[in-house]
Formats: sequence, structure tokens, C-alpha cells
Amino acid sequence: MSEPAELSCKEAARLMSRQRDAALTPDEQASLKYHLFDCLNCRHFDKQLDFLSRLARRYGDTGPPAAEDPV
Amino acid sequence: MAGLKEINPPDRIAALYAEVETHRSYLLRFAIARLRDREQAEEVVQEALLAALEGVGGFAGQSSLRTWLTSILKFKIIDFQRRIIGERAQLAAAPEENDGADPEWMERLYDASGHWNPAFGEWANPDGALEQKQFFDVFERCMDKLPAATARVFFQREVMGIDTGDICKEEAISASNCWVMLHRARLALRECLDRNWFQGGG
Repeated sequence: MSEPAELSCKEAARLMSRQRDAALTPDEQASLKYHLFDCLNCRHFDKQLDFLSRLARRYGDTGPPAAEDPV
Repeated sequence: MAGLKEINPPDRIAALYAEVETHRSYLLRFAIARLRDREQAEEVVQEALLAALEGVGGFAGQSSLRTWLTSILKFKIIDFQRRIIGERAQLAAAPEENDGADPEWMERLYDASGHWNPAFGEWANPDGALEQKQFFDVFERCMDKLPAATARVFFQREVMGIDTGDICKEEAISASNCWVMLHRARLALRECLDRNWFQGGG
């Protein structure tokens, strides 16, 4: 197998997003993995996308918690 | 089964009415995502809330109130679409607004070589944010800033959990167009939450 293509953060971000909507090709997966291994900022981005999904899901399931009682 | 109306004192009913009301803005977004028309969506939400309040005894408390209200709304939307299709031969597609059309905006997130610029750090305690009502207010305001079609696609995908293929079909757009819109929504929401919550320290 050839070396995975080197991605910019911009390309990696696009793949991280698409991964949540459709399957990536094996080449895309390899390139993304390779990029993430090296790039802390993109690992932050990936985590934040996960969080955004959880937030959206929670928003649809129960909504926000009731406002806290003033202490 | 005795309805809550019989077993609950009036102030409990009033509290429940108030609680139902807190879900209105979510339900409205849900209806807009399906109907693409704000006025129609408002009408359907109103019908759904009235039906919910009449049938409050049917809320068994096994699911969340929001889930229960959403299920009523779904029936009302289907009902409404049937009625509309009867009235008009075909639903005119909502005019597609130009999608905020600021191609520059996404470019500015990166430097010339495509690296994040400025770089950003990890969010502090995102799970804690999920326990705060104000954070959800920020989230709603951030969704409101998206172009309408982008917001609708994001809502269907991430809030309602609809399959991307089905969304594209419904919106009559190509899969790649759909991905672009979703990516744009996520980037914009990330920025907006970052700026309005996480950077401010919550």
C-alpha cells in the first residue's frame, strides 16, 4: 500500500465532518488517521464535532435542564 | 386511567402548562426543518401544543416531555401535509435563499497552507455546559445565525438523526452539496460556541 496522502487541516476537517454523514474510502481513512496522529489542533476539532453531535442529540431528546434554582 | 387533570391540583396543571411552553422554540425549529415555512410551522406547533395540553393525561412520564411533545408534533405535521397537498396540487418548493454566500468566511479559518489559523485549544468542561440552560440558549442563537437551508439540514441530521441520503432527497440536493452544507454548519457552530461560551469561560 502506498503512503497515505498528506492532508492540510482544511482537507482533514472536511473529511472529519463527512465521516459523520457517510463512509470514507480506505484511502481517505488512512490519510485522516495519519494527519490526526500528527495534528493536535485537528484532534481538538474532532472531539468538538463529537461534542456538537451530543449537544444536538440532547437538545432533541430532553432539551436544556431546568434553570437552576437561585441559591 | 384517570387524567392528570383529575388527580392534580390546579397549580400543578399550571406548572405543567408552563413547562410545555418551554419546549415551543425547539418544536418550532423541528417543524420548520420539516415544513420549510415558518408560518405553517407556527400553525402546526400551535395545534400540537393545544392537542398536548388537552391530552396531558396521556403523558405517562416514561419518555421525556420533549420526546412526547415531538411525537404529537410529528402526527400534526403529517396531518398538515396531507391537508396542504389536498389544497394545492403541489407544494411549491421554498425559494432557496442564497446560502449566506460568504465564500471568504470558511477560507479565513485557515492560513495559506491550509492549517488552522488561529489554532484553537481544547474546550474546558463541555459536559458541564450540557447541564446549563444558558448554554442551550447560546446553541439556539448560534443555529439562528446559520443560513436557513444550512440550519435545516443540520437540524435534520444532528438533532433528528435522519440519514444523510434521505435529507438530500427531501431537499433535492446532491450528496456532496449536502456534505458541504453540513460541514459549513458544523464549522460555524463550532466557532459560535467557542466565541460565545467556551472562550468566555462559560
